[in-house]
Amino acid sequence: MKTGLILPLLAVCSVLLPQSLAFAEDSPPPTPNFVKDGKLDIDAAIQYFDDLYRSESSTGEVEMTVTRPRRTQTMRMKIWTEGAKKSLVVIQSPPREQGTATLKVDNNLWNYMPRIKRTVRIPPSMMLASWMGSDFTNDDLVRESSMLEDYTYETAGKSESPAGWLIRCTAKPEVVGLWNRIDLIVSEDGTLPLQAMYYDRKDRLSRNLYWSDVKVLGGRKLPAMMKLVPEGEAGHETIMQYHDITFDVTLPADTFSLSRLEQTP
Amino acid sequence: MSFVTLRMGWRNLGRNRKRTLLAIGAIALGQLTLIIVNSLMEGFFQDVLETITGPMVGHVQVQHAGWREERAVDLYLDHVSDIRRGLEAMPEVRRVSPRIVSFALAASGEKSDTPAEAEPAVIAGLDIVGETEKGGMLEGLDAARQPASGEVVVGAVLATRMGVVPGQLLAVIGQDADGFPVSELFPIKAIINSKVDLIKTMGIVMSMEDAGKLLIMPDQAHEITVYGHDFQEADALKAAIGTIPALREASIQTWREAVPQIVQIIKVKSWFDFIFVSIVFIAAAAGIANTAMMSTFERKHEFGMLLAIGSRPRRIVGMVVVESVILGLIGILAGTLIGVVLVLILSKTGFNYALLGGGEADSITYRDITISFVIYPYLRFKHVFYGLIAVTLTSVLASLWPALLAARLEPAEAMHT
Repeated sequence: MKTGLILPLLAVCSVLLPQSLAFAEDSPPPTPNFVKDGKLDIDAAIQYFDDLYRSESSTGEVEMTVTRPRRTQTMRMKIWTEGAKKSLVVIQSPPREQGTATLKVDNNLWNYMPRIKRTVRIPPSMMLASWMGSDFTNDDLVRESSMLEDYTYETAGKSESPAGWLIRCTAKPEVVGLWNRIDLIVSEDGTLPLQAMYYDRKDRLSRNLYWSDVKVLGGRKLPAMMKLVPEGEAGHETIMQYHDITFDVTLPADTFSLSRLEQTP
Repeated sequence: MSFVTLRMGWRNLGRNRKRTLLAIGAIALGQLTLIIVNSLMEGFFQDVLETITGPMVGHVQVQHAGWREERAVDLYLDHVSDIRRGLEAMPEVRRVSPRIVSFALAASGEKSDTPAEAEPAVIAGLDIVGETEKGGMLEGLDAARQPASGEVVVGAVLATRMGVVPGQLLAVIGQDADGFPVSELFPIKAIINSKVDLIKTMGIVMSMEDAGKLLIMPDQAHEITVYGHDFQEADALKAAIGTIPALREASIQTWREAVPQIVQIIKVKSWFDFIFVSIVFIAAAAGIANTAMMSTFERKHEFGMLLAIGSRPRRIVGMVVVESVILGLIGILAGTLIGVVLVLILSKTGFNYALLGGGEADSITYRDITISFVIYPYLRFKHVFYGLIAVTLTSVLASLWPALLAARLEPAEAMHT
């Protein structure tokens, strides 16, 4: 699993289905089943999940709703990705935010503010700060950790609520990261993520991520909604609702450049 | 006590001048230490207190009930100008300073080929003119360096990190009170230092109006700092502020409540006063007791003679005690004189105790207060007085025993020794 959350969901499945465009939007593609003889084939499921977030390239449209105890605000944004290393997010609405953009290339993050026509680089020290006022952090956008590479994983049995398999992913000791452990619940057939519980370095539950609204997007059956709920912060949550995704589009070479960042409408 | 007793006491001190001088030196050194150390501590804590009850917390601080916990931009007080008018009309209130405080990102706003690196910063929207008064956040900032409308001044540490200088543009990126991203460019009027660490290391200071416009907070503020006539009367001021209906839901705190840890340290400090007085007391007691005993035992023969020719034992006691008291007072006087002169000099030059450790930094930060390593000692009369009382009492007590011994001498026996 990619712990980078916002962009990767977009990138869902291009590796699995490079031919995804062959599927009509309304005819769901065949999905594998990783349960054999009543047991989850965890290696296959994790590999599938890890790859779920990799794609050659993609474009998508997302609506982000940030809820706070005293207010709720919604922003609509367009996202371009290339592999796991490059991505560009541009806010489309509300009008006063239009054109505000975030560019990620490798571990670098830049923000462009059209109002002042300036781009600033977000320093590593600000990686844990909120991204665009949401519960996601800059780190969520930048991080490229791979479940296969950074975590050891084991099936911890069946989960009852939500129904599925509980996979316990423990960070390898040498890996530097925010999370000590991620408990991931996947669907009964092992192909869809349902919930992830993130435990911090002191092994305290820090946040919950819920996937829902499974539909066919970009020729692939996947959860179109992600809800991030930080633990211990009543009234705080961020929902990412995917409206459209297209995979393996050909993107202009300069899509992920600083000059392009500043031109994006 | 007769004049003769006084004179005899005085003349007795001259019998062994070396011994007397040594005793006086010991007492003087004690008093000198007491004065210097207490004045330095007083100067240090006065500096800290002035920062807390001045720019940092004021005498009483009014905030949204959730502000201290969460510091979220939308936890503000409403109708600030009405509240301000209400506060200013109160006889207890000397000055009112509403403030907007919001975390943000800042970077150089100058055009360049490579994007500037953003730094974490704090937007401080202040009543610029009011805050330049004594005890304000911008105390002493002259008019030429005050930010006009649309301008900002930047904390020295933040400015260094961003590599900006006055005259350049600063890009400020934050979130408004509704959580939407906001950004603005501001010309930098000046780079400032502040005793409030947050301002020095992260501060972007602008007018309340500009901050309100940027963060969409019309007539709103995150805190209102209120100054009464005396910071020691903050509790009464707090009670008075609490009667304003618009602030019924707000959090109202005195400076003591706002920074309890530092108040605790100041309390501990008064114990140090006591410890130092005790040290002087003991040093004086040892010096005087020794001198008094030696000179008494040396003079057994003489005392016997005096008793034999009809001196009353009371007179003998009086003579020995007077001798000690004079000794103590001279010591105190010498110590006080040297101490006061030293304190006066240091209060002009400042005492840089970082140099003692060979350090080059000029300040440290504790609990958001920048504490300078350079102390300007502050002498209080009580510190001289403590020493005076302690030594006078000690002189009497320490000499009483040898004096009583001398008074009880058997004249015939004493004259034989």
